[in-house]
Amino acid sequence: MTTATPLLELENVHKWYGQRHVLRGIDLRLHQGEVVCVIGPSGSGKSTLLRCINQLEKADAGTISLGGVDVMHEKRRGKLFERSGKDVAAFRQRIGMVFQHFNLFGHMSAVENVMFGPRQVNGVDKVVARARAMELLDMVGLAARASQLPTQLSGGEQQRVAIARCLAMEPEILMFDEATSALDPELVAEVINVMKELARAGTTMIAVTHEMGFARDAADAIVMMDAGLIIEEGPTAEVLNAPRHARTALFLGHVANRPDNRPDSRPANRPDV
Amino acid sequence: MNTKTTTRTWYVRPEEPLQSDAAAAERGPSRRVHTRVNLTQILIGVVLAAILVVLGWSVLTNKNMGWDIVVKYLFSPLILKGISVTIELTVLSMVIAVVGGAVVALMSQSRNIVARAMGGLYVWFFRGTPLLVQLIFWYNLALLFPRIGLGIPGTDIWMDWDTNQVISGFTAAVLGLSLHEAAYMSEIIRGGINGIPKGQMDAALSIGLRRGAAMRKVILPQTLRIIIPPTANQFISTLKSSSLVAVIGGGDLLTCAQWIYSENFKVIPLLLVATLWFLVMTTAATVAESYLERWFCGNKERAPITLIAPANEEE
Repeated sequence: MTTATPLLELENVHKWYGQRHVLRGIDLRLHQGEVVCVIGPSGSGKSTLLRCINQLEKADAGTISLGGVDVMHEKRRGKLFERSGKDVAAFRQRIGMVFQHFNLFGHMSAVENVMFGPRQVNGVDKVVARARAMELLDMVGLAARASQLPTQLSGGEQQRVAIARCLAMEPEILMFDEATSALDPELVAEVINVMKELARAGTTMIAVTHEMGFARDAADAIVMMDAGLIIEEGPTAEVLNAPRHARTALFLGHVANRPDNRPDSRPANRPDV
Repeated sequence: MNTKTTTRTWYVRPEEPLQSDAAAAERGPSRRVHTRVNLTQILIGVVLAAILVVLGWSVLTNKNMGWDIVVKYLFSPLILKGISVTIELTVLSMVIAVVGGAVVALMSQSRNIVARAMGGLYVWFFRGTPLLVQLIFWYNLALLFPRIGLGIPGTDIWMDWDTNQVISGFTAAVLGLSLHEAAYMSEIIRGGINGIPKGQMDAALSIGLRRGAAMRKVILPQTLRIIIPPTANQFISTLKSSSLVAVIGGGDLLTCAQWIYSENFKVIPLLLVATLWFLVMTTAATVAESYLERWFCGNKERAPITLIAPANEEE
């Protein structure tokens, strides 16, 4: 593959919750423009992995670097120190994250949610921020619903606003943490469509997902996790069609039998506005 | 394939246009159902009403109630002054308590262990001791510190006052009430902060906000809606417990009533005056609270949707 420095690189990342060893030495590389899907059974550490990457959880061991720079530690006088809160915030800003439960700010309308980051973090002018937010909402097909509050939006709409909120910060990497798992089956497609659109536009993405249709269509590579370890990774077609690890084959067998993942019975993609 | 021989037809609702009101009317009027008469319920109602009338009559017609004296003092200047002091005391104490409570709540949520311990200690102490004891304690502060001083370390600037002059009945009352209420307010505010789903903080951090900014801009504004009803309740409770300051001559409504009856010995009528005014004030506060609640919380749409979503995220 590419020989340039990976955009994101994880080396031997460990995470414990008390006695529980949730991540047991994760190595992962993500290059500019790549789309990687992380799959695996629940409890395998997928979400924790994403949360460690933007430091919502602190990895207990290992290094995580963004563009070749260690995001957790800095070297001063030959010694390693934890990064300051300011530095951590700056790194988080470069990595967008879309959550399973959307987590839109409940006291703000859709457009306010999207404007919030640029306004608060980068001090962008209100008029400029609003105009940009409207562009992004238009891109996810929600310009008409800009002034609605989160509770007035459907789950799929909320998630699309959440994606726009991420994009407003112009992140270098977009992470999706089971972005469609909390959605009604009929609303999954509208979010998946936006995700596919972003993948097609060359966005660097890492997505924890059970949507094999998305993985098949958009992912360059699949990473299979089980019990805190990556047990198999490789190009999408290879992993999905000819998994080398028995656990992967078993997992794919279960997932493929879910009705919404059978290619013939997937709900027709509704065109966005 | 099908071993059973029973034949069964499955129902499929034929597609049809939605029924109009006219179509519904065609089916004719619905049957009228009459209400049942429940004798037991009527009997219970009559007995209770009788008890109420007898009790009320004996109380209201009791000569010792002195209704004429009640009427005479209801709007007397001293009583009106007492009412204004009660309101001042309550409002002032609650304002200080809300600010102080927010500080204590943030301290007990802090990552700094000393701040957390201090917050916990404060709540433990001020919730664990009776308000009455605290009020008497503050009133007698002069016995502990005869003079109170303020100065800037390293300079000659130093001012001090006689504690007995600074701590009047009113200041001791404000001090006691607000320190006591601040402990309760901090618990209310802490509950409000904890009531905001964790995902709100995650989302704010993930777009690059610092923890403090996320607290101020995302968490606290949403907390406001949660804490308004309990804060209003606390206000009403303070309105009533402010009468405790009568023991230190706080000058509130009860103090004034006591001053009057200590001269004319009309104890019951003057307590009635105080009672009536307290009822007026708490009723007004309750009505105001329900408006406030409707204004802030009635718009349910503003509540974060994430409150509804199950919080059992993976891992």
